[in-house]
Formats: sequence, structure tokens, C-alpha cells
Amino acid sequence: MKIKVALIGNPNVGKSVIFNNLTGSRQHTGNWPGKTVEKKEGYYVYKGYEFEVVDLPGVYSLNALSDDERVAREYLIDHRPDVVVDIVNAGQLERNLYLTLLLIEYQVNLVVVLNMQDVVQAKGDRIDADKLSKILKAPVVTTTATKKKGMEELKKTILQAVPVEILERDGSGAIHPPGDGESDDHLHYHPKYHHHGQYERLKPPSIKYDTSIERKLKIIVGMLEEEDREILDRFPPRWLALRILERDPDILSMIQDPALKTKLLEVVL
Amino acid sequence: MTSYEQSTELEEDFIDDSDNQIILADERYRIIGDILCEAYEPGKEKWTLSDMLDKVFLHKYLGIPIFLVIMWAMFHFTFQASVVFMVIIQNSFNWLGDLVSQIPIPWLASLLSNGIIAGVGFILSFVPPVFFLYLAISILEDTGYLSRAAFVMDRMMVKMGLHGRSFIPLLLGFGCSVAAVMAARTVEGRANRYTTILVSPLMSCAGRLPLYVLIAGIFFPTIAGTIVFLMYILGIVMAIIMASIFKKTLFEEETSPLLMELSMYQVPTLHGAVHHMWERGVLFLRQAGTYLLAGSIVIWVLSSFGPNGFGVPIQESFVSIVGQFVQPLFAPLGFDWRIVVALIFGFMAKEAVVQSLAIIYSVQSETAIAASLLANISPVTALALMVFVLLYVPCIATIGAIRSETDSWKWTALTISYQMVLAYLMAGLVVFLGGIFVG
Repeated sequence: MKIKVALIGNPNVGKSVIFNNLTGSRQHTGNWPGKTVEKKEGYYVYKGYEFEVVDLPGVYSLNALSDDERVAREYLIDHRPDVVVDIVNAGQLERNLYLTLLLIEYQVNLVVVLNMQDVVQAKGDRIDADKLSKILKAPVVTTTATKKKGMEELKKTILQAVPVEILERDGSGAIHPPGDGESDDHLHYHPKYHHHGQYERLKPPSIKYDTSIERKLKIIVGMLEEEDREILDRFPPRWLALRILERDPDILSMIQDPALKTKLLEVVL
Repeated sequence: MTSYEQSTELEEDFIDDSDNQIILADERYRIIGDILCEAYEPGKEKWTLSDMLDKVFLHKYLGIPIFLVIMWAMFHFTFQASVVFMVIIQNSFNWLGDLVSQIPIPWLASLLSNGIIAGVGFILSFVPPVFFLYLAISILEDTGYLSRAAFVMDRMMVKMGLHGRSFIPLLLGFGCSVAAVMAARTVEGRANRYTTILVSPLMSCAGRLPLYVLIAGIFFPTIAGTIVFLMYILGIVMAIIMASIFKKTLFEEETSPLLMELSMYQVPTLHGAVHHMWERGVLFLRQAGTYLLAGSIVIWVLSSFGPNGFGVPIQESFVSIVGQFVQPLFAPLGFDWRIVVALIFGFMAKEAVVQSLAIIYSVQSETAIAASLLANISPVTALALMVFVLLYVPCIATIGAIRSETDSWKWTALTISYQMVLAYLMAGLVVFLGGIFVG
């Protein structure tokens, strides 16, 4: 069973260079189904495990307004890669971390790569990778992809980020049984392209927002639990609540019941 | 570095908006700020020249005034630098015109001197301003300032409910509206894209420049550069106003904040600047050589022939008949039938407005176009004419582009009709205000 790794990051962060460094010549290019966006896939083997790497389009956010963003978002939500590698331009930390925070909302197994370390050093900036890792509750690797620095470290970190049950899975049966809504276990859902009965155990969000926001998110999840279990089953619940708060047109159009929709839209910050 | 300021500044812009999306984005940036505080320490010598320039050029309040001053300087330069060359070209064509008018066959002499040389030759004298304007624009582009201008404008546009990325296609509209319409593809979201397409013909394209230069030079010689600049600004302002109207009435989509990659400032290369200027200038020349040439022959025929054959007084020619027929519509604006005819030809290409005027006046009499215009219309009407040409129907090529990009005749018709109404209203406003102030 291959381990699925997705590379994501803002445009111009050296994502393609890292993709090439990881996969070498073992890659092929095509299009995402129905989109004009290029899809690059590659493979590599590390410590006996086989990794399948997908290079997602460069995006600043995941609003699903442009094709690029939509492709990235659908892949993350519907296919659920085992590890998501967020490539960050370390010289543009503030802007790049925005996407990182969005990825945390997806509750994926995140690996953060601080690329372009040479630029940071040239500027004299200092980034405390350990501290960053603690805050984000995700491993942080520093690399200079153009000089192939940090690639071994990255491979090692990706492997470490893969949950044990995935390393041991044989491709059959459930990874995780559906959680129990009554007992407050919301950390599961059934991704679109997973086998029937194959549930995903979500990583708890490492960064929570202000309590006023989190309270509203709980209210929305609560409403869905009572009235639309089906949609709640298909997406990570907190992520879904965030999208509803943001008035995401794609998600809103999936809520069939007009009364519920009105009720959901009444929740404002 | 630059992009930091962007994100924080975008945030500030949004603070007065109480939208969930914005509150969440705000919250994310607050958290990022906290993270950076703990895990990031900027180096000591951070202030590159590029950063310093951005502090000024992207300043919250100074940004737009600086943009306006730079634009003004650009038009002033364009006008001043090209005057000498324009006179040289005009004199050469005058000389050539005198030469060919010696040809013993009257109709041929008239076709060549009053038609082709008066028309195409006259248009060619506007090659220098086109070249200089594009030299200036490409220098601004190569330095990296133009993308800053887009960023600065973005703030204003977001306040008006518009997508910031719209401004980049709109900037291309300074060159050619067709380019702007095509570039609207890069704008995210259907509503934003359509709005951008609808308003992009309002940006003053190169085809409109000859008329501005001509009218401003004749009626307002001391402040010609400023007048031309004001026309361009009026185009931008109108585009923004109309866009926000469309956005509020025709569509109901949310806007998303603009994140732009601003590269470092660079010293423009002579090669690059000249290359761009040449590209744009050649396009203008090609227009002059092809359908403006054909147009000049058509206009000459229509103004030299009447129902009674060749050589009739201009009042009895075909153009005059058409012009007189439509003219009452434009009487409130003070446009006489010659201007009306010119505007009709301008539908083909905006350059043709000036060309038609030149031919009609040339066929009509011996006096130069400048003197004829001065004698026939008031400065207020002249100003109204400039505003009208700025705003009225896009040229055929642009209409074609709008049709293919929106894939709908409905949107195309909407563009044509709203521009017609807008042009009429704004020109009317000029006449009205002119009436009050000039008396």
C-alpha cells in the first residue's frame, strides 16, 4: 500500500524543485479531471515504504474561487492524503503561514517545510523552527531545495508523520470505525473517495481560534448533528462549520434543507 | 518583505467591514502575528531600497496622490516631448499634400490630398505621442511601479466592492481595450470577471489619444498635458463607479482580498522600454496602414460625392446628409454634423474620429483643421467631445472581444448601450457645468 503524500504551498516557493528532488525521474504529468490545471504525480521509496507524491497547484488560500484552489481543496478533502507537506517560503513567513493555518483547519497530518533557508540567512532573519513546530504541533523541516539541502531530513520527517495504522494497513477494511456523536467524538469522517466503511481519524486542530469563534463553530456543528448527519459525515465537522461561517458557496449549495440553511446563516460572528 | 505590509494593510482595510470572512481572516493574521512574535526574529539590516520605496509608494494615504502625480507627469512628458515631432510630421505631410494637389486630374488630386494625406497623414502625426506614452508606461512597468499602482488602486476598488485583480486587466486597457477584455480571464469569479469586461472599454486606449492630443492642443494649449491626464483619470473613475454599480445590481458574489507578488524595484533597461514602445507603436502604425487607410478613402468618397455627383459643396455630400440627419440628437451637446459623422466612423476604430474630422474639414476648405475647429466649436463643446469619445461605444474589435469572452450577445449589447448612455450623460454634464461656469 502506497503512502499518499501531497505537496502544497504558495506560488513561487520552490515546490516543484522539492517535488523533483523527492521523486527524481519517477513522475508523470497529466491534468486534473475536468480541469485545465496540471497534475503532477511522482513516486519514491524510503526505508522500504513506497510513497506516492502529488504536487498540488500553488495557492495562497483554499477558497475554491479559482480552479487551482478548487483542485487543491477537493484533493485534500475528498482523497485525504496521508501526509500533507506544506512548503513555506521562509523569507515570506507571514504571508505563507496563512495557508498553513488553513491546512490546520483541514486537520491533516501536516509537515511544514521552511524552504529558501539561504535567503533567510542572507537577510539575517532568524526563525526558531523548534518553537514553530511546537506552536503548530507539526514537524518543521528547514531546506534549501535549490541546493538539495534538507531532502533526507524531509523524507525522514514525512515517514515519521505517517500514523502507525496507515503504515500497517493492508488496504482492506476500516481504518477507524465511525465515532460516536453522542460521546463528543467529532474527529472522524468518511472521505468521498475512500472505501465504504473506511473512516478517517482526524488530527485535532492544533490551533484554535478565539473562543467567540469556536463557540459559533460548535453551534453550527450542533445544528448539523441534529438535522444533516449526512453532510457531517462527508467532511471534517469543524472545517465544515468554518466554511459555512465563511459563506462558502460550494458547501452551502450542498445543504438541501432550506430551513436548516437559513438557521445556519443566522450564525454570525 | 513587501508582501507582509500588504497582508496587514489589507486587513486594516477590512476592519470596518463586519463580515464573517473578514473576521476569520483577521483572526488568522492575529495568530500569525503571535507566531511570528515567538518564533521569528528579523535581521538587522532589513531596509533595502525596495522596502523604503514601498513605504512611500504604498503608503495608505500617500499612495493614490503619488500615483496621480506620476500619471500626470507621464502625460505631461508625452505631450511636451511629442510636440516638436508632431509639427515636423504635419509639415511634411502638408508639403506632400501641396505637391499631390498639383496633379491635373481633380478627383485624384482630391483623393490623395484631402482623403489619404489629410486622413492617414494626419493620424500619423499622432505616432509620436503614442510612442512616448508607451515609452513612459513601459518604463513604469519595468521599474515595478505599475504593479504597485495596481496594489494602491486595489484598496480603493475593494472599498467599492470590486475585485482588486481587476485593475491589472484595466491597466492593459491603456494600450488596447481588446487586450483588457482578454486579460479579464485572470480575474477570479464570474461576477468579477464580467464586471471587469464590462468596464474595461472605459479605460482610455491608444486609439483615443489622438483626439485628446488634438483637442487639448488646440483649445487648451497651456495645460494640454493636464487635460489629457484628466481624461485618463476620468476613464478610471468611471470604470470604478460603473463596476461597483454593476457589482451591486447584476451580481451577488463576494469579493476576495488581493494577494499580489510585488517583485523588487528594478532599473528599467533601455532595450526593454524601447521594445515595448515599439510593439505598441507598430500596432498603431498597422492600424493606420490598413483600415484607417481604407476608412480614409471611404470617408473621402462620402464627403466628396453627393446625390449630384462629384465636387458638390460639402453641405450636399453624403456625409453631410447622414450627419445632418443624426445631428439633432447631439444638438444638446453642441456637436455639429461633422463631429457626428466623425463619431459614427469612430465606431470602426477610435482613431477614425480624428481622421474623419481631418478629411471633412480638408474637403470643405483650405483652412487647417485647427483653425476650423476653433471657429466651429466652443472650448466647452470640445471638452464634451473628448469626454464623449472617451466613454462612448467600444470599437468593433473590442465588441468582438467582449462577445467572444462573455459568449453572450446580451452582455455585449449591455456594454454598448450603457456606454452610449454614460457618454451622453457625462458629455451633457460637461456642457451643463460649462454653461454655468463659462456663462
